[in-house]
Amino acid sequence: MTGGTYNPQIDERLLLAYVEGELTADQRRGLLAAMEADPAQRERLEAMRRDRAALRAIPDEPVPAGLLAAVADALEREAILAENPSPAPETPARRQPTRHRRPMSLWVGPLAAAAAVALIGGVALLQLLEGRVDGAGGEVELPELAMSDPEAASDPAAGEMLALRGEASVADEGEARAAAAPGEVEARLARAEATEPAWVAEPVDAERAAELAREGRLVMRVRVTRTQEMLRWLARVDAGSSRVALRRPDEGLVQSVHAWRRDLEVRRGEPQPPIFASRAFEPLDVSDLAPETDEELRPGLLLLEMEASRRAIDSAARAMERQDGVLQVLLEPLETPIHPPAPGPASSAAHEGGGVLWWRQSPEEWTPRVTVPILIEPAR
Amino acid sequence: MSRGAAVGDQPVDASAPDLRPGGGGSDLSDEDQKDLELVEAIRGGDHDAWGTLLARHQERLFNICLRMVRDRESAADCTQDAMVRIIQGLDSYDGRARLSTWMIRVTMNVVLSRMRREKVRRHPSIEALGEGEGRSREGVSTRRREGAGEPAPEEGVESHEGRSVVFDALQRLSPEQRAILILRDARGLEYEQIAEVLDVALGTVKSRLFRARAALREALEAEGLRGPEGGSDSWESR
Repeated sequence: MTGGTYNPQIDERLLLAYVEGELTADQRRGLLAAMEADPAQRERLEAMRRDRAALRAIPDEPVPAGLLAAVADALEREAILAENPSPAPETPARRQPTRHRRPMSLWVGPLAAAAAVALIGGVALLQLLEGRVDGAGGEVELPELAMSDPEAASDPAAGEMLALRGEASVADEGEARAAAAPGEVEARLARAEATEPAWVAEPVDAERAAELAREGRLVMRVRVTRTQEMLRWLARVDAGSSRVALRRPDEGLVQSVHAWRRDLEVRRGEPQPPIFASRAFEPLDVSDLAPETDEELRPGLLLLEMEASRRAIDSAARAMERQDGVLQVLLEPLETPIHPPAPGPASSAAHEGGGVLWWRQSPEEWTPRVTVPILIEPAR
Repeated sequence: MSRGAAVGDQPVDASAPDLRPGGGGSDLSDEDQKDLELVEAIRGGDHDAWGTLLARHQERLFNICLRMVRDRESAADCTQDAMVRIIQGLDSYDGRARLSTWMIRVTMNVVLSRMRREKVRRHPSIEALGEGEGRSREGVSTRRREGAGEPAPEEGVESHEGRSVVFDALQRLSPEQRAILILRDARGLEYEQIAEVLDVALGTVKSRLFRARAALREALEAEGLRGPEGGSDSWESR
């Protein structure tokens, strides 16, 4: 390739530097000129450059749920085996079957304590969202939100939150499963206090949820605890397409999707209604969540533009499935829609340059979207 | 070896070296510094820090495993094994390499060891598969797996199809060639970090990397796949 002075070692390094984009402009021109006599080799190098770019473009996949719990399992088993050394397993650490995993001690013990705190808030919120509280052993109607939240009296969104809870008394036969029957509140609370996760059912199925979404009457209640968990879920909404990006791609046609968020304050341990901690919906900025930080997620109400199809709703719900197969999402009907804030200079500026998620696809593939309220509740 | 102590399949040193920057830890990024703080916290008895440390790295480690072994179940097993070894071997981490690099090294050792074991176990059945099927130099079938280890539809079949072109080609390479491409391209490691992970000299990294790129090209061409013509987007799904 370089005439009589061909030295495979030197040439390989030079070629590698070219593929890696490490040559100066002069070096690059010199190398390409030297390869003019060997167009096949030159084309091969160009293909290697493209291969490199392709490998770099493959997105990461989300981690299977429960991986860290499985590590804790393995460590605990090893600790037990160390105390009772026979019989030894073939390999020291094997992932357990995905169902019926029990809470672990070891390093997840403190996490369990934190989760217990969240459980208190979760139970309280669950009570509130049932539309009833049990202050002294009997059911009473939930106090008006305005009683606890001075801003709520003049806040339309707070009224919408009340509507959300009010749906728990829906008598429509088709949605009867969403309504708490007498005794059901206690049963659900009992499950919430049990060791195993309580959310095992979807009050409406994905088909009905899609219909509700198109009417603006669907709310998704999800249980997530960490910001990274939330990010992974966002990246898997809409069938988990790999073309979903949390950062605007440098090139290619994209459909941008927006989201807004409003924080909720949950008074843990008290049967209080959720209180909006922020005065209005704010555009969700994933840069607050990404990329490396993993913080405890605050309870809040998220408005996300989603595709209102059974497939998309089902995918979004399934993406919240935990390792033990329990869905951490409930699909429930709303009495009245919750609308995103009207576009204005402030929100436009906040979303300058794109949305919160980007789907890499051509415009003819863009899907119509509706805004779906997503209530982020504390997870256990 | 001038790098962080090996864990993987090798004995661990129980000493707990000083991790302060300067012992090889200069030019620490904020992320590296945070890692070291977590290690110090763990060594100081703060077991909460384990969850934080592993959570910070689990996606990176899992995706290394996934690219190496391809199917999610095996990748999850590998990641779990690697994390157990990381926890058990943390005392041997001497701070000369970045913690993230050391963790990748442990993980890669686990994956490569597992692949070698799998190769030994799988060899007879591979031989029985018959002729005419694409087979890598290591004797591992390169038949496109129709569903084996594939994620469930709700986990993104479309995306998997889009990526399978590259993944298929990677499966034709030796585990070591696959490893070096994954470290370089999927994780963006510098040559020096790759040398630390694979425990080879810098020059060896460069020569192996070029040969791995050439092997990948051959693998793509052997399957009649010319590869991306118009940039990286061509590999995208759908």
